Amino acid sequence: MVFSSLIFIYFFLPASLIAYFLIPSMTWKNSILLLFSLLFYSWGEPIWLTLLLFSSVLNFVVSLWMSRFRGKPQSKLALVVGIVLNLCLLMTFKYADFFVDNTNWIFGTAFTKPGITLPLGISFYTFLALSYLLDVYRGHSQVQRNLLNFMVYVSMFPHLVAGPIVRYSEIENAIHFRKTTLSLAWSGVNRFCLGLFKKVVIANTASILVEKYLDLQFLTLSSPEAWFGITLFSIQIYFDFSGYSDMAIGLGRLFGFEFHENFNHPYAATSVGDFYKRWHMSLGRFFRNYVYIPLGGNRSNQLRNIFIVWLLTGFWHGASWNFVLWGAFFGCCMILEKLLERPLQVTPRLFKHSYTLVLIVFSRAIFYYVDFEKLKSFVITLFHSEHAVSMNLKNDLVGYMFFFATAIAFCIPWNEMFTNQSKIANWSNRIYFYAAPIINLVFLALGTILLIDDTYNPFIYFRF
Amino acid sequence: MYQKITLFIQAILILGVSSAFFFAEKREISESEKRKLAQWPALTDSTYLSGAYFRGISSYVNDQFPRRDELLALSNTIRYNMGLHFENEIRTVVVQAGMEQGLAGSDTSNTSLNDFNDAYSGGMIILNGAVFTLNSGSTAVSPVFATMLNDYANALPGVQVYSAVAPLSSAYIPDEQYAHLNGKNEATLLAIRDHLNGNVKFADVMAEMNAHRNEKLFFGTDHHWTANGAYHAYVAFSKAAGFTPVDRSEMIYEKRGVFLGSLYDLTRDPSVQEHPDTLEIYKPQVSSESIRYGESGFENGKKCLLFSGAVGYTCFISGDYPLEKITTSIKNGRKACVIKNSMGNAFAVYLVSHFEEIYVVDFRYSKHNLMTLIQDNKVTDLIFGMGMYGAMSRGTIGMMRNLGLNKPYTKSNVEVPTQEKESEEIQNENEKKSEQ
Repeated sequence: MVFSSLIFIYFFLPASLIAYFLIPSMTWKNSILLLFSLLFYSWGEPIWLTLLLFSSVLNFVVSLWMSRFRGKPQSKLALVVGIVLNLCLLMTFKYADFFVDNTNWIFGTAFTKPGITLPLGISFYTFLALSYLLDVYRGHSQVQRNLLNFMVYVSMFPHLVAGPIVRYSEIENAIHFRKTTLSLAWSGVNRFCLGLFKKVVIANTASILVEKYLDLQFLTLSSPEAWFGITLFSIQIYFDFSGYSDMAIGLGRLFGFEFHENFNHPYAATSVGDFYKRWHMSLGRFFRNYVYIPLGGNRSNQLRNIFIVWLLTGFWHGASWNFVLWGAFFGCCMILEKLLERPLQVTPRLFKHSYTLVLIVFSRAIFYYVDFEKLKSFVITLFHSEHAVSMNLKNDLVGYMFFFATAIAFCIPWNEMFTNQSKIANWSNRIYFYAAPIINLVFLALGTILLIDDTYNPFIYFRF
Repeated sequence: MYQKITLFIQAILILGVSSAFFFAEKREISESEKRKLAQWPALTDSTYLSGAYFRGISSYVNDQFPRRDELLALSNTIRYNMGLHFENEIRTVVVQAGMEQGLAGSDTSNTSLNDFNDAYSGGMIILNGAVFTLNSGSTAVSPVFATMLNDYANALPGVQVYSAVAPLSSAYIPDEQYAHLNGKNEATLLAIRDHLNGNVKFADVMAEMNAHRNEKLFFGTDHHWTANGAYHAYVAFSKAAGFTPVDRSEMIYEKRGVFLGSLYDLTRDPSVQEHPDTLEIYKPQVSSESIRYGESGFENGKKCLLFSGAVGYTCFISGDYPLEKITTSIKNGRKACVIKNSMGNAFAVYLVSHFEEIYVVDFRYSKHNLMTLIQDNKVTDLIFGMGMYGAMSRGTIGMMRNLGLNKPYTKSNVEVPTQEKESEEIQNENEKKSEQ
């Protein structure tokens, strides 16, 4: 099931909230939340529900084993076993075809690909479990001895299929003691409606234009049209994923959980490093805490560490070489930024912002075209094309100007700009406070109308 | 307090919509979308494990949502007005899952959409108010279609078999930017030709249409071709069959009026609405009588018209029926059987100038035994005249194969009645039976 669907908005969510709030006991609240979460997961992939349950029980048992031998070598052994088993699950269900393909390619063998369909959310819930095991091992979190509570953490539907990758320590207390206060519910509803608008109105509209330029016109694109198309995809992927994260955070709040932010106006970044501190922040935190720092962080072999982290980040996104290339590209960008740190510090902000945007937008091509031949051809088109600019570009630039204006307005970090001007900030907060219910209803109405003929419009990050 | 009240109002509104769903009347067919609406799915092991059960519930909620038609109209208006619009603009249409359910089986007198599911599964583009389906065929399936024709030719010695398959509208997208999208039309049709044996004649419909590509060959709001497009197919067929095609100056021209066709129903795009199609027809000056029959047997024959009064594609041979028999005033001993999908309707009307009898069989709905039909009625020419939708899917080819090749010849006790009078007699007999 997806958040942006009529069945979720008008049936699943109200039913889960009513059942949840009718029950006073926290144990029963967690049971209800788990029950609805499993139903939510079953909706898309009932067959993979067993894998989710298996993974949850496996990690629960490993964590108990680890905690039993805390401080002893067996604890480390349990951690290693847990990490290996989790990675084996991920490798089997996400990367098996990729490995068989490449083995056949390298060694000339003819192994048959297993052809396993990617289980929904496996990258997210596996990383969630890994973070839990590592935090418990390091003593950053207490072990959870109740399977029900542990499963609520792993499979709670607000973050189950596409994150954010919530650390156990973030919600450890909330699993046992939480209360949906009025202000939390209020902000949760506002956030959910905002996410719905971002996904259904902005991302889905951009997707139609993206298809037109990056697929239908692929063979006849001029360079400006190629840049326009890939910029549109940058808009689409941001609003798609951040819209999803907004909805996830909003839903979490309705059930009394406060997840950390996953996006912070990434297109306002002034360096590639800055961009990835603002984009998919929960994944960035995961790699920083569990890969980059253990490798030595910025104390030893920093450049090597950066490159490894980015290769892994790329590979996490999908079982395809283009994602590895995408990771390597950003690894190189980050290393260059480190090497040019001093000169970059004195360059104008506008320059830094511009080069960052160009690199980010360019990198989306590596994300979009899984086929290397197509990617190569598209990259050439970005810089040289025999085709003239068609009327389509002018028509769409002018025709969709209000759409672009809205998208750009949502990309600007207004709150950061007015932090020091408390008067303006106060006024805008006050206006928003009173206008929020109306805005929510407008967003909800638009979402409902545009979803009426759209039974399934998955988020882009569902395929990771 | 403000937060409490407004949260309460928002919750009530959402619950109000949820409740309205339960009280709203559930429909089976959407007249405005011309398709079956999703019903509550059956729960079985396989539907549960495949996820089809849950997907079915999601589709059910969307299809049975209160005020769906109004919301759908609003949705299209909002989508359209998200951008400003210009002459000659290109817009893409995302095909929704729900569009894949046609009206097949519910009422075959309507133009069904199910036969071109494959065609629009590749998406559509709208160019200056005209919709073009983007799927452009598949050379992989061409040999399967050709083999089926070869098998008919081998099974029916003495009957000349023809392939007269038309390209899709994507072959004639009038914009260079999208010219590459017509790529497989020609290759698909030529691959059919290359796999036919010497017993089957190939009518090069696309070559003939290409020579007239600047004319209006396909409707803009409908997935069918125009009478003009079908005429060029008829010319191509005549060349293959050795006839001299009747010139249109010898036919009666009629301009029937404007209409919005199937692709408008699917897209609901305002720019398409602003560019309705005009129905123009060319009537051969040959007198004829037509009778249509049900999916099997020859009871309940009803008179129908070669050109009905409808302003739309259903004008041609009155729409899609399992079997239609056209008896003409021509006396040359030749009888044709046309195996067709809806595209064959506009083509078949031109054949009245060349055959004594024409049996028009819609392979999607007919359960008649084709071998029996051909042999009992001494058919001389078997023509597979259809849009490429029918020739590029293994499923539709299987349906055509099942019409005759997988059925043994069985002597029919009831030959197809040749006169309308006989048909009326049959009707009268049936009426008497039902009264009894």
